[in-house]
Amino acid sequence: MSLEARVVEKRKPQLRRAVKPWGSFAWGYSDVGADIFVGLGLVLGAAAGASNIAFLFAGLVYVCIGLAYTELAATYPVAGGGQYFVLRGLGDIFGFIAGWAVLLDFTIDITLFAWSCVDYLSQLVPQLLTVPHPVTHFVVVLLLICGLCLLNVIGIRESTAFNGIVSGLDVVSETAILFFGFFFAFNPQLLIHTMQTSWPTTFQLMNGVSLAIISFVGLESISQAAQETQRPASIIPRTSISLILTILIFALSYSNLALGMQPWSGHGAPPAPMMHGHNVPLWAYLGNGENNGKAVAVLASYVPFYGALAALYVPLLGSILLLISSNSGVFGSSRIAYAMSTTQLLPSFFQRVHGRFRTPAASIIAFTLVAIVELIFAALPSLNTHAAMIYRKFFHGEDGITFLGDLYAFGAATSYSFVFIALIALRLYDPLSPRKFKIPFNIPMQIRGERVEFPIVGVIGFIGIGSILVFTMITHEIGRFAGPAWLICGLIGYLIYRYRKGLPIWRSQRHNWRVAQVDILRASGELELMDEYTNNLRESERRREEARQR
Amino acid sequence: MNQTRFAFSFLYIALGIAIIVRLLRFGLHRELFGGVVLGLVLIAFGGYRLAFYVRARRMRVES
Repeated sequence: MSLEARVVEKRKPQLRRAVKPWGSFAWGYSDVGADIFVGLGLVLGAAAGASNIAFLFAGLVYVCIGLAYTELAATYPVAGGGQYFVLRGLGDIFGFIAGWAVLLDFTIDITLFAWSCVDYLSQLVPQLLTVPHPVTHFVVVLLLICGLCLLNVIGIRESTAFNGIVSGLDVVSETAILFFGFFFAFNPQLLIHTMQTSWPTTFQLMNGVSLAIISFVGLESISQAAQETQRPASIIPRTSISLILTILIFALSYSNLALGMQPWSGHGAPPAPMMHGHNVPLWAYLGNGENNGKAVAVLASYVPFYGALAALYVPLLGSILLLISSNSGVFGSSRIAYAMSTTQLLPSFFQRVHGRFRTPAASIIAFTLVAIVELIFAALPSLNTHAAMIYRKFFHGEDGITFLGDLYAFGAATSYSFVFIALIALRLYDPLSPRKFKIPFNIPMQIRGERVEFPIVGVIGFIGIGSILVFTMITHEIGRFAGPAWLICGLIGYLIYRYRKGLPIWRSQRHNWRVAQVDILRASGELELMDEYTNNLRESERRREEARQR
Repeated sequence: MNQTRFAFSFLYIALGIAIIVRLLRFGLHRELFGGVVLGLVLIAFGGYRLAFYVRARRMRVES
């Protein structure tokens, strides 16, 4: 049977391709854009006067990650993201590990962003503050998580249009904060002074860098939406590059502003930043336990003139963005588990679809329960004094949001490390797939008679994200234990499942990636690329035949 | 909508130049490196969007 005939035979119902360029950008932005709302306070608390350097380092690694995702998502436009790329490039077991790490990230995403959403709302409703009202805070976060779970089981989901409106408003709002902040309050002398007098220790800086990476997690969303994007190979590179630069700009702006901004003190300004009755620098005020969960809203309120308006809407806008991001955790975890289950990396339990609502209800409920367990661990020190003592003794007294940040950084660094290796492997083993976007700076070479290009950026990115993974393991007491424990438990479960099913345990199942690739390109409407791919295959076979005859 | 994006591209370039000029007026300090990078990224982003806008406009006129 010919390649084309097999492809036609394998055709299945497809997702509707309705996502346009702005929609694709909004999908990514509503996920990644929310990260800075969480990351800023955590990094300021950890890296103090070197927070901008921590963001710069993590930002450069993020650019490499972004470029890798852009190339891979444009070449293989299917839902599944990093897990699919690793499965394809490195085989079943590594595909499972990467997918399992992404699942950890998605479950943390649910809890961390719901937690932070309530923190931002507490700027407007003080009854929701963690410090005097930990039980109320916990209950509201729990209700939000359960509510999102219910909505996802029923099948209601924020639409692309809603994402687009919130993302558009947020881009305009953050640009305004940036504009007013840099023009009316930024003082380079203060930045120099803060960096010279409050430079952290190496340990603190490593801690800050490992937390800064959480401000850049979520590029998965663009890849996840690839199967619903029109002409993904053309649109994804455009939207990804815009997203990478936008997020990098906001992260660098906020960190430099926090360190070098003179807080607004005129008529209508909020009270001067104070801790324990003493005036403190703005960055220290933003990084303390009371404000680190809502740092962007607090910083915005200190921007001259614009701060009066920003104080009213930034907490609300931030909480909506964070809730969307939390929802993307519920949605993403269930869909990744579903996808992993269809490729027999997870049991068929995760494929169970609700009879009435036609949603993967089993996956949604299972991973929401994991998120609730994580919430309990994060909230324990604030709810119970004995637990607080244990946390102080064994985990340096890490608070709830830092605990979640630890695990988030661990999961992201692990899955991204595998994505870089998959990028290199796919460049070497699948040179025939047309790449509409290719990361620059490559070394041309010949492998098995094919011309391939070895990506230098892939190696740089792997070293960068590898170092962040090491920093996470060194500096986070809980992350060092809980992160690897999650991976080991998952791996044991995977091995038992594969053994029971009689599937190859360490090796991969047989996949016909060539048929799959033609099918993917046809389904995505990239017919020119599909023709180019089939021509490349024919040419390659002709060259081999000639070589054999010689 | 395109006009708004066009205006934003200019705004980013202007903001990037303003930040770099403001920082460099204080002399060359290694502490200002992060700020200078921010200015450069702003200019790069504005330039990227602007180039895209111009290319799309030219293609529309040609077609």
